[in-house]
Amino acid sequence: MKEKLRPFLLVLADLALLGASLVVFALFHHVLPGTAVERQETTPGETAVFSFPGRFTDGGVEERWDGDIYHYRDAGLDLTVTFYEKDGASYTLADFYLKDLSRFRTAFAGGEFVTGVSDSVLHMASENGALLAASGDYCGVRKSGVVIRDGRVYRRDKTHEVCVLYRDGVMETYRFADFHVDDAVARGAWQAWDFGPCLLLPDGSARTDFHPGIAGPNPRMLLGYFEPGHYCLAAVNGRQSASPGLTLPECAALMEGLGCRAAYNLDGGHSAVMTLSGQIVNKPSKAGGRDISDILYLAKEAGA
Amino acid sequence: MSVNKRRVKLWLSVLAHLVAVLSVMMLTLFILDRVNEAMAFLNNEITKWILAVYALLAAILAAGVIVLYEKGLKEDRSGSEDKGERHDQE
Repeated sequence: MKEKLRPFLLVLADLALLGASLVVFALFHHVLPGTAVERQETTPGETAVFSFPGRFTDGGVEERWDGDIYHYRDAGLDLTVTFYEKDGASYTLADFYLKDLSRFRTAFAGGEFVTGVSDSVLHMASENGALLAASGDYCGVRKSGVVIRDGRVYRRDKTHEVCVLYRDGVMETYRFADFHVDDAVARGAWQAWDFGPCLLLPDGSARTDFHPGIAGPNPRMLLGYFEPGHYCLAAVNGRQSASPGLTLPECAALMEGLGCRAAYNLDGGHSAVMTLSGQIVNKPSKAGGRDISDILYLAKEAGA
Repeated sequence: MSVNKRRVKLWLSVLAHLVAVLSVMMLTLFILDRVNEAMAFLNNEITKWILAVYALLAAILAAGVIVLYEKGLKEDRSGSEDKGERHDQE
């Protein structure tokens, strides 16, 4: 009897060992907090100042709603938030012009870059005095991937296609083989995200060759670039009966249609959350969204 | 069977189980990485080390099995030669 049970017990023991190994892997891969990166290299240069005549106020703040469209203007920011719902797709689009790029910032959960630490977009936005905030690339859940934030280099090894916003206001997206971190740092990267994929081709037309495993309809967070100082963020609602979400080719077509010169897919799914003045302004697939590691945000005040 | 031979076979058996577990683990990570590429289940330091350990254990197992197999062949050959000699003497 014991001999008959032996192969069965051996397989069971192997399966138990496999389960334990996967649990230990998960612990070290994305559960246990890492250590804060204390010494960061700062990229060279100053953040650019842009001129958009007539876009900004002389010092006051103007805020108004035109139906479903929110307008905000101050001395350094012109922001329009629009809620779209058509053809089964629904998304919140934030289109903004900046006077000073340093107002377009990023923040980490807990205030410093530590892997395995997460927080809600809403809380991070309020902690950092954000007017508008959006979920980032969830860099803290991974132990690798380029992380350059607010001009500081935290991690240099690339894992995916990379998006870089340079200090001169130019945003460029790179296929994996085309990105060289040393070049990006030397050129003065202000932000770099490692998630993707890039949505547009170099000529601004929509890309179509996406990996089928990630291309399906989903909630998305998209970052678009029109010209230095003019960008947009689109939070696509998904995994809901009214809005299944957008596929990557649809996202690419959306950003092309908006007239972006470059566009990039940030972390989506439950992570995709956009907040405006302390309120969630998209429809996250999970109530309130999930806790993530980082956000992109527009500061309420320049230099704050 | 000599005690030494039994010990070697036991170690090889343990090694085989470890290699089996690690291979299924690598397959699991491969599938997870295909499903959610953003999590970088394959392209990270931990997986690289697991892959290195897996390759090392597989190499040791392969070497052990090859040596054991060759020894078995040699023993079989010498055994049959002995039998042949005995047969001739008879």
